[in-house]
Amino acid sequence: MTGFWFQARVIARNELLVERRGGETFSLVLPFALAALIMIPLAIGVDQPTISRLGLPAFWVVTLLFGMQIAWRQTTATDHAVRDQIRLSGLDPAAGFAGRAMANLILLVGFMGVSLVLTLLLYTPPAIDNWPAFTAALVLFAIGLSVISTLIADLTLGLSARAGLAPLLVAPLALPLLFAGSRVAELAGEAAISRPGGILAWLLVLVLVDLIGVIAGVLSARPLEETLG
Amino acid sequence: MKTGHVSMTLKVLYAITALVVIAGAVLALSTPPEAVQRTYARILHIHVPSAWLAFLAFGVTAFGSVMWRLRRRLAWDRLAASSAEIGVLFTGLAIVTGAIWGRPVWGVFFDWGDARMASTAVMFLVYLGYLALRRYSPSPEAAANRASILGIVAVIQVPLVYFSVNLFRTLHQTQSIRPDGATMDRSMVAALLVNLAAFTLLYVSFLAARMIVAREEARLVAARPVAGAAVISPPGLSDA
Amino acid sequence: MEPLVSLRNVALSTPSFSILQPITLTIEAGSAIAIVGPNGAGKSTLLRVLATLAPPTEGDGEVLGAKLGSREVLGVRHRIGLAGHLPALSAGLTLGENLSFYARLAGISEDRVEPALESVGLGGARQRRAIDCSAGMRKRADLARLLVDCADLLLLDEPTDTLDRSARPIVDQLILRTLSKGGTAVVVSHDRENLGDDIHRVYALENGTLA
Repeated sequence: MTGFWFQARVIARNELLVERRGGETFSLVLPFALAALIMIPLAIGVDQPTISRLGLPAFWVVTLLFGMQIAWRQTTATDHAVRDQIRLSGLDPAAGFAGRAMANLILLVGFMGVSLVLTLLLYTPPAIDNWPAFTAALVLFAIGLSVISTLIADLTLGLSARAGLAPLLVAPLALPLLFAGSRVAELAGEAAISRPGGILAWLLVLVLVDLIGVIAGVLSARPLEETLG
Repeated sequence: MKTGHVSMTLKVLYAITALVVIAGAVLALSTPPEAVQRTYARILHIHVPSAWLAFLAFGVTAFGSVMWRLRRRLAWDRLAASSAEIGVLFTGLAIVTGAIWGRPVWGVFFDWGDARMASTAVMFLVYLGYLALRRYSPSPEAAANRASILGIVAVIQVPLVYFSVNLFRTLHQTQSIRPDGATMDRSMVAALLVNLAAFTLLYVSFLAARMIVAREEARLVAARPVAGAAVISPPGLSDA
Repeated sequence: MEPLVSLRNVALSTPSFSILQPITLTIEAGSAIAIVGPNGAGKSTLLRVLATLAPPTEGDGEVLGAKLGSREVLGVRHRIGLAGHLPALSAGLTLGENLSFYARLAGISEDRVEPALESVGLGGARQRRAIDCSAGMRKRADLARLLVDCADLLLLDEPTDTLDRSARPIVDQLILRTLSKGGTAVVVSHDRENLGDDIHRVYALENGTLA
């Protein structure tokens, strides 16, 4: 039998290959998110200062609400027969979770990169002065959202109401990420560079949420597999 | 126990609950008005116990979830589920009474800058999701397995909500009853404590009733037809 | 020698239905058995129990020495080869990619994939996506998956469904290969007439009861 990280990499690689063929993330989810980014300033009107101020908050909200959908795109886990074979292969369920979360993270980073560029173009938000902190927040946000949404995707696998139930579960659990991420963005702006301690506290919140998500996902992987029988 | 029959113990519990609830209501209405908020502050006697009960209920949900994972007896899962339903009810009540109280006192129904209000709303959503997850699971065992995981993870919010007023300086007042003493008038404290007891008894009463219903629901599915009995050889086609 | 499969009053129910009535069954190593029955008899469910994918709700048993419903089954699953009613292929991946994925997961060389596909007559379809293949081709590819590895317990659910006559010997080949290595094969089918010559014993399953 193969090792934990080897199995996780095999799963991640296969998930990314399926995504490359299906293209759901970048041909469906991302355009829909971009539509949302465009709708918000249209709803506000011609008040440019307000639009600029709402740019980064809109980015975080859109990333959370649409980015989570990456986790329940069509994957190998969606097919019952394939799931059975993966179980029979001797895969450690926790390695399966890690592999899926890694694949989701890679896709989410790509998603966030494109969304951020478009946010900067569409909203012209206030300049970010502390880019290292902001980048750290982006990465930690991506890690947290990918592990939480992967956990919930596994929790709701096979349920008929998954399309509505999964977002309902992810959204409140991921709210601390939204809150902390947007606080870092705020503090990383030009006017706030004198408060590094505040940024660190919010980055630690992100780290804490990420850790809780990873631990919950790994520990619940095996028990969750029992529901698939 | 026969279906529909309520035990003497439960009857006594319900009677005591009713008495304490009435006593709490009388005390809440008869204490002198608060110095600044006047009579608006009386809603405290519903708002605070509701929040306390929500915390207790979700704690019991987590406990039931852990016990189900350890013992695999569905009775523990029924405890977790029943308690979560009651917890959602009391959380909703806490939010609504908080909003009613907040409007005349703070000028807004809901202040997004208030950490406790925001975190309570998030907690409400999480447990609504918990109930939805149970509802859409295909079997009691699948519901127990999935929901127990969420029930254990989600309880982390309870201390976060409770201590949010200490962690973040916001509109919401900090704890009124603390280890170093209370910040309220004694008569108000007494009324509050009686109402806390009343709501706790209400919780226990609701929980007992709900668990009886859940047990009867489980019994109803015990008589199961054989799956294959619905399939027969198709009748021969007639010569048309 | 310990039997490879031992079920004692194993039953399986959902909240709505009883699918398997208490079943007692022993299968020795080196034997090939068939379980036949009409639609809805519980054949596929019984196979999932044998595959350790569906823990019984009553009774107990062992498969490959692991107690059903316990964590022990995690240690023996890699020795079980299952071809279920539906092929275990990701629709968007090619036949080669699908089999390579399972090979990598099992720690087996991907070099075995091409010969396996060739032996089922799909050597030329390696680069074809599963969704672009016919049901019969997908079935063949699923059987080829079992040729990449060699299971101690081979479980086949309606293996000749959707296969044309020329492909049916693939099933016999799989069974013989398993038996030759001391393993056991279990075939479930609704078609008693086309079970093949390698089956040692036939059981009838009706309304969840084994006869």
